[in-house]
Amino acid sequence: MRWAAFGLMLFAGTLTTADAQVRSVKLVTPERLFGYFVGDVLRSEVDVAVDKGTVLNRASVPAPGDLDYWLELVDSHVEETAGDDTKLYRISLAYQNFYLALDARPLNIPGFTLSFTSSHGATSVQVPAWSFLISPLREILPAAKAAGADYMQPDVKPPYYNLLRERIATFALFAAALIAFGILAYHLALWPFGARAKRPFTEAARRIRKMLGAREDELAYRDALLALHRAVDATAGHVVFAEDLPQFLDAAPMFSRWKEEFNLFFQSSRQTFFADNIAAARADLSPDELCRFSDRLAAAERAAP
Amino acid sequence: MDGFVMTIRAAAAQWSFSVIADLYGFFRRARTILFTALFGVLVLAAVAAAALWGVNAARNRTIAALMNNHDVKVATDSAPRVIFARAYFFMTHSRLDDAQVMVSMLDIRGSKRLRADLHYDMANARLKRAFDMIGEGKIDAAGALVGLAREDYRESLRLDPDDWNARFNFDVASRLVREYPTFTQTPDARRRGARPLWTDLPSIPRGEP
Repeated sequence: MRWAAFGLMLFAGTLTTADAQVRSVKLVTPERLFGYFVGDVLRSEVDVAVDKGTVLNRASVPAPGDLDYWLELVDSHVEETAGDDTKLYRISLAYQNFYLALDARPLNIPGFTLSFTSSHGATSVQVPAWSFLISPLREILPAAKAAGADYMQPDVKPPYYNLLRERIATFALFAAALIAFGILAYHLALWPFGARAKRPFTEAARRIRKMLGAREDELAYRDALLALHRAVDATAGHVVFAEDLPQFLDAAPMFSRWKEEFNLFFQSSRQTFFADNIAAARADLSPDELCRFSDRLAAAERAAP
Repeated sequence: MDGFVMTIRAAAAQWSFSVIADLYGFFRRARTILFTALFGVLVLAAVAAAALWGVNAARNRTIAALMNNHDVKVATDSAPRVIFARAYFFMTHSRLDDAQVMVSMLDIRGSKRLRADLHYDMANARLKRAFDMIGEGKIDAAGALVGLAREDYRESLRLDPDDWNARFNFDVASRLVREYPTFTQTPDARRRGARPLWTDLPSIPRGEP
């Protein structure tokens, strides 16, 4: 953009009141004013500095629309900046030309009048016209062709939807879901991590639930007790008897909340395996309670670091 | 003073440590729920992505059918590119009025790029028809068509001023019809402003004595 000299100091003759309400008008046109083609958009700016208290009449700013049969104003907007005792109006304009040029020739962008109001009355300012050089796009006499369509540029073929993004998103999300399932399965010691040794109580709880759910008889209860024993042994790393319980709970503090239940469990275990009195054992610790107890131990095991 | 500062510091360290420990403890206890939720959300997202893939693949099949000259009916609220393909089908099958309906449809919902391209294609179709009519000696009808084509090229250039093919073909169309500055024109729609509040009644008395 360059400062157009002819835009300066135009207000001097137009002012009607004694003191200046409009201080300066500057028209800024594109730096290059030649070599434009049909369809090009040219932007200009009009900077008007006014006294504080002077207001631009917005209706005097050209509105977008046709200016001539070949010229259109496609955009116009006003920016307002307040200074100490002045106000700067910047009016940005965008013109699009649709001129059919057979040779390079100057085209005129028309000027317009801006009006301002203040307590002293109304003032108007003339924004000057400016011009640029348009160039032709084609030769004047193209070589003769068989059909009219041969003179034209080809159509744009209908575009298809690009499926690449969806494809990548689908595969990536399924892969991520698979990984998340892996983490979850590892955490819950589900298949294929069911055999890992670090979750003996989780495994035992699952087996106990299955055993006690399938059969009501005493043998099932006996097996369930045995399974829980194995889990305790596996956690401790050696066989744990009732008298080893305090050491076991010291070594595995996450289970110490269930000291009472452990005592009950060892008591019914003694009844079952040494006194052979499963009925009494079931009275001490019912199958339901045993099931719940093993579930709680499994949860505690998973919550442990 | 130093002792006081150190007490504050120790309290802060203690506090931040307890917050971190609380957070870690919370994470440890909530792990099962968190992992399950993560897995569920990822599965849902993957299914949604796959569904979108399927929808767009179906749209592409419709476009392909239209491009292979199958007269596939398309609803007016279809996806923008399907409407584009339907309009192009009409253009290439000499049904310019039907094509214009689709162009208007796309103007409501299509992207700027797509609308610019479709207006360009519409103008091309009209200009080709005009060339045919000139060959048949129907000069007046051809002139009207060229005028419409020029309007479409202008709309295309308004939407995308850098479309060089539209500029070129606009030049081709413009040379077919001499253009004069017009003195009486229908007012520009952008300048018309708000609609008047009162209708103009022809029988209002003027108040003459």
